[in-house]
Amino acid sequence: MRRNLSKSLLVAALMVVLVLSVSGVSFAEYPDRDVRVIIPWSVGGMTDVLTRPITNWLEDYYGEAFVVENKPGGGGVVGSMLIENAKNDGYTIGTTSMSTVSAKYVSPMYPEMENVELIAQVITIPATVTVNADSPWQTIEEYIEYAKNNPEEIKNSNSGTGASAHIYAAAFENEAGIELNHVPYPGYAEAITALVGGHVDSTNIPLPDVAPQVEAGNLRMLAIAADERHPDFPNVPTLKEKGINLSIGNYSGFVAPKGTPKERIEILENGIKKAMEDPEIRNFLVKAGFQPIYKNAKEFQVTVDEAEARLDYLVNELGVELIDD
Amino acid sequence: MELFSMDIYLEGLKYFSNPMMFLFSGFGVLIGIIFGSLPGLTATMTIAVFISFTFGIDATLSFAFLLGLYTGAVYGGSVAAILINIPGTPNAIATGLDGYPLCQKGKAGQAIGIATVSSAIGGILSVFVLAIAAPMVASVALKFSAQEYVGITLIGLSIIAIISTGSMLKGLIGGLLGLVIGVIGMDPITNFPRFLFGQPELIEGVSSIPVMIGLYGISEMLMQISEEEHGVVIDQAVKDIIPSFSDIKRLLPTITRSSIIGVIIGAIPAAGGSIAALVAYGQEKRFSKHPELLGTGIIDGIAAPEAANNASTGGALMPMLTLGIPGDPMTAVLMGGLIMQGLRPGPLLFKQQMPFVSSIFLSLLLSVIFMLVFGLFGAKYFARLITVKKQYLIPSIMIFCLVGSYAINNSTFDIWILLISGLIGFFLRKVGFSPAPIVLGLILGPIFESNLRRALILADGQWSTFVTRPISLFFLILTLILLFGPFIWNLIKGDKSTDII
Amino acid sequence: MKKYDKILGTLLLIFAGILYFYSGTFPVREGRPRVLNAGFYPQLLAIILAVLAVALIIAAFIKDYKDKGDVEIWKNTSSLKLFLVTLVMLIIYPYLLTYLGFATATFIFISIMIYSLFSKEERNIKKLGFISLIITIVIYLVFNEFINIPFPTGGLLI
Repeated sequence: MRRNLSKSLLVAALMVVLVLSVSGVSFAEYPDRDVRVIIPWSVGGMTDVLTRPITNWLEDYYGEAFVVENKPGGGGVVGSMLIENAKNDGYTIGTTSMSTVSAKYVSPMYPEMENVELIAQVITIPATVTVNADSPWQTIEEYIEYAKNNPEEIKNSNSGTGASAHIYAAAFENEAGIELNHVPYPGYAEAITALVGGHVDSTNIPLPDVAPQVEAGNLRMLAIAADERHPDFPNVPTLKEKGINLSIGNYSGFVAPKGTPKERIEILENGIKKAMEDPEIRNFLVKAGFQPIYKNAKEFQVTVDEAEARLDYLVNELGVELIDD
Repeated sequence: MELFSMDIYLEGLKYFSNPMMFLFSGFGVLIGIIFGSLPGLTATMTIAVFISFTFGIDATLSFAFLLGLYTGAVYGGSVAAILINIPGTPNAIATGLDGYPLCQKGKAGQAIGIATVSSAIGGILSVFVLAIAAPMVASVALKFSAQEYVGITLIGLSIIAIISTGSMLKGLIGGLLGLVIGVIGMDPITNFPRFLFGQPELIEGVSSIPVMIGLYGISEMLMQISEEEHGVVIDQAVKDIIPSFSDIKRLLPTITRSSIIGVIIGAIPAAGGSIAALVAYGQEKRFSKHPELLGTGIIDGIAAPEAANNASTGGALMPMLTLGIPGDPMTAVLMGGLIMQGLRPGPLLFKQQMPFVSSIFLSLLLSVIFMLVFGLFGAKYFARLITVKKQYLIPSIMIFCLVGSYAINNSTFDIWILLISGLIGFFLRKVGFSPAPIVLGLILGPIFESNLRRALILADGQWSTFVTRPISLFFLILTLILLFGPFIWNLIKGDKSTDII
Repeated sequence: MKKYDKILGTLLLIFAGILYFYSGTFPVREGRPRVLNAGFYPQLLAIILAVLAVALIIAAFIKDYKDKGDVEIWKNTSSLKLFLVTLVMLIIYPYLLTYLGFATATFIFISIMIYSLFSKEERNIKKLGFISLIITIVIYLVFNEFINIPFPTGGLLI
């Protein structure tokens, strides 16, 4: 009796396994089952905050779950490499940002943008030149003049050597012809705190992160590194207006492993486009301080290429030390 | 630095006409206690996991829930430290120093009772400080630059020597091993990869959680197996859960001092509850009439860190709410939750969203009350939990450790860190080391090193910066007093009983 | 304890030496305070560790140990065996997790551990198997279903 029971249990288990594996193979329209979305950064981080509302929207749109998995570690390297190595059937996608590109200068193992297919870019955030509200510099001209006369004296806080804010600072130094004293902090929050507390003189951290302190009157934004002025800060000039040819900042977008079927990429590209057209999503992103900007795979490629070229120029032509060796 | 009139605070009360607020808060505390007490699931992770449940829920409701989780998880971590000597969160490391020995005496109920009441007092005090003085405390915290962080981490490190049970020399060596592990990863200043051994997972350093769970959890289980204690169950007399009035009265100065320490240290970004609890324990050892009894399982040694680590929860919320700067990893995740609700933490939150801010204060108060009720009510069941046969308990705890480590970054890499730490911890414990100094060294080391070097960049390489800044100087003097005070004191008194080696 | 302290002290001293010299190979930039170089802090730690290790060795020679008998790492051969079984189970768990999935790996781990921990007389296969299954189901529901930790799925789809 007991043997029979265990036998029938075994048969039942096998049946379940079979049914489950068969149901996985289906010919319905993509996507017809859960899509994994790998975020190489932690819960509550910048990318996480902006990605989840979009994936929630896609869930409703496709009627399939978009399961967000945060795989932080190694400053995004671990998760990005997971995306590269995932099955390229369109059921695993992920997110990317400038950190994915800069990783190659700092990590012993790093992801390559050639190993993924771009789907779409969703936001851009411009870098800024921001100082303490009590600082003597009222305009970007005064700041640059002081910096030219006193090289390496202005203490500029960044989010870590080789991290995004350091890259903006290096590019800014190069275009403006100045030299700053870089002070690395573990992240944006700490670098901004140091500026609010008056322990450093300036920072190039992007707009969404400095905006609350600027609005509260603790910090003063002297310029933004974008092509156009920001609607929330119409009085803050762009660097380009002031003759400094620099438009730089971070971006975020979706990618899929190399070789993911083209039609599936297009389906997602289209879905993300529709999501970005939804005023609710737009409002959320704007309110959180991001600049929503939909770019399809082709346009996104331009953004990524620009970022790669800029980093290459900074490191290999100018000899900026993202890593000390 | 504005002060608000009382009615602004009462504005938040209107949200509480919704009974769901109580339900969400209570539910949050309950889940928090359960997950916080599972070894391997830290408070940070609990919040991170449940934050996605709150998307689409009203902001006040979701924060009633999240703050419940926060309070519950910090408290739950201490329950695990008391019952099985595995701190559920780094905040509970100091609690285990006396909590576990007391539990071994069969007084788990009393230990949990004291922990609960001290936590509640610390928690309530911190809510009031938060409500009255948040902007002020936060602006003081802003004055802290790298130099001051060096001072505060030095205090934390010097306490390693004070809390070492047994040989102080071994405590120091343990602390130093922790500091060495903390060097692994990218150099915080120059970005040079140190001791990566080709593993990208190590770029951001060895995460302290799997090391902590390994050193405490896995090594403790291995100890019990190697000593054939896995068949032994300690009977728990489940009584004296509600502390007597005389106990509370006697402990009140300890609890008050520790709560103040907790609020202040909690408010300093990056310092957090683990240092707060540690410093509170250290000062208890200095102020206590029976310092020699600390570490053997006395309630004073539970009250001090517990009051401090719960007081630090309110403290850590201050810089987050007023400056938009998270005070510890947990509030960093909470901040993400705020942003997802479309609220931007920072100086404007107080100006523009005062009803919401005041609902946060009230929610926090409510969750402390729920914690008190659940804690005292549940102590009995918690204490019974460890009377389950160890043959079942040990494998289950191991699974929790394994799964918890995996869940930090969703990768098996951290499981290996856990296992290596567990094995090393096992051998070190056999030869008379305790895990606390190693974990503390690992947590404090990177903060110490990066701030030391950052301070010198800020000061153009002048070491004098540490003594010319008044707060920094104060911390340095305090460190010296903590380290050498007792020796000098004993020298004056002619007492030679202090065991150095 | 005395013997172990001497061994440990020596090991730590060697480790400190390796740490010191290896950190010495880290890049050094001229014209800035030495403390800003990547190798300064690890070298500082190595020196302190070496001093402490020497102190431990000296102490082992001069100190009176209250416990004359040496510490036993394992109580007896049966506890050593059990220790090794546990260690093996712990080490293979990550592999089981990756290749068989969370539920199966956990069941194998729990059942073998519970079986090994009970003494021969107490082993009641049916009861232990049942309890292992219950524990596995509870853990599976909590971690996989309730808090949704993305475990590897493994070959068995659970």
